[in-house]
Amino acid sequence: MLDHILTALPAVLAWQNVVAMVAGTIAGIVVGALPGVTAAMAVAILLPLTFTMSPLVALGAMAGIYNGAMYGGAIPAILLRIPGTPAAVATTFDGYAMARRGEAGLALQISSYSSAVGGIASAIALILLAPPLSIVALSFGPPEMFWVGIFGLASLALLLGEDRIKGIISAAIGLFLALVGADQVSGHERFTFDRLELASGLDIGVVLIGLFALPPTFQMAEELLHRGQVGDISAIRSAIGLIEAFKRFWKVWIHTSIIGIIIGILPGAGGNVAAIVAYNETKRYSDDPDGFGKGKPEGVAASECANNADSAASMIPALTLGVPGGLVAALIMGGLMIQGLQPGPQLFRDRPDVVYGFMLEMLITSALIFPLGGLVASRIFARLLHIPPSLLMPLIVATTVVGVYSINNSTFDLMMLFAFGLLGYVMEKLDIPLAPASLGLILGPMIEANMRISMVLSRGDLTIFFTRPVSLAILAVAAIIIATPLISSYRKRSIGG
Amino acid sequence: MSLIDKNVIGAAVLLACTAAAFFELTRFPAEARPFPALVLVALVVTGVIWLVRSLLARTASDSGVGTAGSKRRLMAAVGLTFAYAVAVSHFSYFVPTLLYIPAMAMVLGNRQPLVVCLAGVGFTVGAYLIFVVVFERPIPLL
Repeated sequence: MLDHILTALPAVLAWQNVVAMVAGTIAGIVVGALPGVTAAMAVAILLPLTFTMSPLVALGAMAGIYNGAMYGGAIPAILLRIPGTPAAVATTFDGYAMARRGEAGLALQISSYSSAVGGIASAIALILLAPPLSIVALSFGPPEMFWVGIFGLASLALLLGEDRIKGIISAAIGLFLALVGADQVSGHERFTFDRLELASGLDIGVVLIGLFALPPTFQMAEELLHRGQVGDISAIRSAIGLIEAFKRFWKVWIHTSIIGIIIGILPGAGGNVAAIVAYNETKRYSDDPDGFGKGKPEGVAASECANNADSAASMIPALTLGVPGGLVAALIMGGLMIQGLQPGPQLFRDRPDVVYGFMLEMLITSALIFPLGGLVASRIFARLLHIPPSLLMPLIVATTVVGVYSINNSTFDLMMLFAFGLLGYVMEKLDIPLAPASLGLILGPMIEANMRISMVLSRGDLTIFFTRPVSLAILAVAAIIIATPLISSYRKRSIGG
Repeated sequence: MSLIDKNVIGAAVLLACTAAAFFELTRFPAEARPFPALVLVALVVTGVIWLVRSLLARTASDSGVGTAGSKRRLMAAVGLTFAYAVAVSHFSYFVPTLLYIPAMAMVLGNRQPLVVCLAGVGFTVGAYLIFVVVFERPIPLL
């Protein structure tokens, strides 16, 4: 393996590749910061341009866009509580609260360092662990994937907030929204109200932007009208150096990198799941779990480290098995195929220069986030907060409207945006957390599909979910992880009388 | 409106919507029903718990809602946003955006007409350049 890396390194460091990686990373950060323009969309736009490029230059640009966009999504999540990409949802929990108390610059720096660390860890995992870990992922059949989905959803619904019933309600609302559209097997339309636009289901991007972007603008308007001003979100008082950040966050970075890498390898579970699971786990092990959601820097570090740790890891099954771990991985696979390269085990044998070169490009573009994100983008974007809230609110709404329209070129989506904005606002007023709903929407199709495939495989025998060794292992781990804090919380309440 | 009222109303609306969804579910073919049925059962069970718990709660708290005047202006702000979404759908992006940004800023108390108008023009042009020219993404145009 070392031979292949040393052979690929000079080609990767050729000036054309360096330019492609830097330009791709900058473009990724900018694109990720635009609500509605996701990393997948950016890679998809670039894909046709790669026809004429050499494989390494094309893959270098795509690696830069992917890593840059995963970080860029944190910028509006922190400054405006709008997740630029779905993977930045968990960053809004503490990042926005930090911005509101004048620590926007600090939150942006933490997010850039954490993104870079997560991305570097993920690229190293891609280089070192690709073949053995892909074999583990291969042993996950439909019953196991069903439990992985249920576990992800249940852990968030039960552990995120204090009111677990409302957490479950939120998750169930998300699952319900995921049901809208044509049934994958029978083709029967479910909950579409005979609207053609709903036949292919609700667009996740539109729903997430509606749920997460519009309620804060209504809240901002409400606070402006009731109190005449909103809280102090205009100051950038503090910052943190890389060494200091490393001393403070190294434990969080290590364990959230591992979570992000493992989740990245599992097909179907992307950076959004990695970020939320890592956030929950960091909260669970924290000495101050109640501080999470109220502007705790560790929350930002956990979320951003994990969602970037997912990036390169999602390429592990794509490169070794030809099974992409996520949407962007699938698009990059498409980029490889445009170049006449077939992802899979034979690619390691036939074109090690391209495979190992791409892995190194993922590593280098992750490291580029340190200077491009931490030193440049953080300072530039944090100045957004100097805009008066009375002007910022309509600007956010207009940006959101344009961004949502650009996803599907659809005016129907604008109505959906407004409807889900109101739903999110009402849910927040009723203290129902929004995050479980977003995860339910994302995981719903995966959970249902794996449940149905399992039932077909077992001919209707439900024991398939409880008798396979890997399923049992996942169930046991899930039970321990979910039950431990619940029992601990029950005991505390019992002692407290 | 007290917190109890909010929760009771919220739970009742949730249960009513779930009942309607159950009615819709009966029209699905058998193979498309199991998972939606499980989700709806989860909504009914948690909705009932939420309703009962809210009815049994004894402590009311202030919802923090402001004066009648500010409520009206908030409704106006939400209505203006809805009107903007509709207008963009029917009259393209440019004119509604040029009007919406200054109008909303004024509703929210901004009294710097020159600044808000310049911001409206700057945003409208800037968003067009970024989305259409640079990234070749569609925006609502006639």
